[in-house]
Amino acid sequence: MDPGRDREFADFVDGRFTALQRFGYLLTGEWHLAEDLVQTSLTKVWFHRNSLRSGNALESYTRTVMVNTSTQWWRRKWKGETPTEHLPEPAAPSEYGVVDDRDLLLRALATLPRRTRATLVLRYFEDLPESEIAQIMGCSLGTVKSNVSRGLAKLREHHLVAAVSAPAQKEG
Amino acid sequence: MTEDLKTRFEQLVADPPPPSAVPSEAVFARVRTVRRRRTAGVVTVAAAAVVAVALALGNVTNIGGAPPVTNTPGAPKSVITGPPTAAPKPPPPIKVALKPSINGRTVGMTVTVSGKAFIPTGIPEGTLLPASTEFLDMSGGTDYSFGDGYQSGSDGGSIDCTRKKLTTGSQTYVIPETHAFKKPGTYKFTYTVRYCGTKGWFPTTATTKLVVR
Repeated sequence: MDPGRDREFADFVDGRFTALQRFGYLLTGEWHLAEDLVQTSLTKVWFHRNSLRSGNALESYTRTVMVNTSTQWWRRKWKGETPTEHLPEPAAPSEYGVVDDRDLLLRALATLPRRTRATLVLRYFEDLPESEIAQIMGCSLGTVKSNVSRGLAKLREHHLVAAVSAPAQKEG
Repeated sequence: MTEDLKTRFEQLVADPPPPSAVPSEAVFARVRTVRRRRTAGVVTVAAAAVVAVALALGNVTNIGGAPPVTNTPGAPKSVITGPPTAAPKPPPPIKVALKPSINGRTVGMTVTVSGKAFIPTGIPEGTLLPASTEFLDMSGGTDYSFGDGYQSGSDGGSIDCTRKKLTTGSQTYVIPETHAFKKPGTYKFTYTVRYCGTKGWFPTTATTKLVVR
C-alpha cells in the first residue's frame, strides 16, 4: 500500500492503455479480448511494480506479460478458436477493399504460431529492435530472427506482404 | 521493405473502441480480486458472529488507538496520590483466532478475524469499498511466519485508510498454503493483520504454539 506508487501506476495505466490495447488487438485479433488481455496483464504487473524502476521498464515488462498471457490463453484454448492452415481465397477487390484487407491480415495472423505473431507485431508495429524483442520474449536473438523470417514467409504465402515485404535482393 | 506491413498493422488498429471502464479503475478492481484470492481460499463464516462481536466491542470509538475520552462537565477531577498505574487497555477492536491443523510435519492454519474497523477507500476511485466486500478484504494485508524462518502474507492492494465509515465483521478462512517443517520441534506461528483505525493502519497480532513431531 503506497498511494504515491499506486497513483503513478494508475497514471501509467490510463496513459498507455490505448497503445497497449492496440498491441493486444494484434496479438488476439479481437478488441474485447485485447482489453481483457491488457487488464489481466496489468493486474499481474501491479504485483511486481515495486521491482520495476522506470516507466520504460514498466511498459516493456507489461508487453512481456501480455505476450506470455496471450500464449497461455492460446494453449488453454479457452477461446475455442481453430486456426486453419490454409486461408480461403482472397476476396476480389471491392469498394470495401480496405475492410477486406484488414480481415485478410487478421486471418493471416491467426494462422501464425502465437510467439511468431507476437514477434512480428513487436518488430513491425512497435518498431522494436530485435535485441529488445528477444528480451521481451525471453528468447535468443537468433530465435527472434528466425521467427520474423518464418512469419513473413507465412504472410507471403497468403499474398499479403508479397511485393513490399519480400527480403531485399542483394545487389550485384 | 516492411513499411507496407507496418501500414497495414496501423490501419488494423486505427479505430480502437473506447475502453469499457476507466482503465486504471478496472485494473485496480482486478488487483483487489486477485489479492483476495491470494489471501485465502476463503470460507466465510455466518454473519451471526457480527452481532456478537458488535455487542462485545460495545462503545469502542477509537479504533486501533487510545481509549475513548469521556469528559463529564462538572465532574470532580481525580487526584493521583499513589504510584502511577497503567491505564486499562480498551478491548482490541480486532480479534484474531488461530487454529492449526498438524499432519506429521505439515501444518495448515485456519484464521478467524473479527471486529470493528473503518472501510478502506479504493485507489484511485476514491470511494469506499463496496458493502459486499468480505471482512478480510477490508484489511490492509497480512503477514505470517511459521517460526522456522518461513514467512509469507498478503498485500493489501491499492486501498487507503480514509476513516470515513466503520464496519463490523467476522471471517474465517484457511491460509491457502500449508507449511512443511524440516525437523520436529516446537515452533511459534505468528499472524498479523492490519486494519484501518482512527490513527491509520494498525496491526493486530496473534500467535500460537506448534508442536511438530
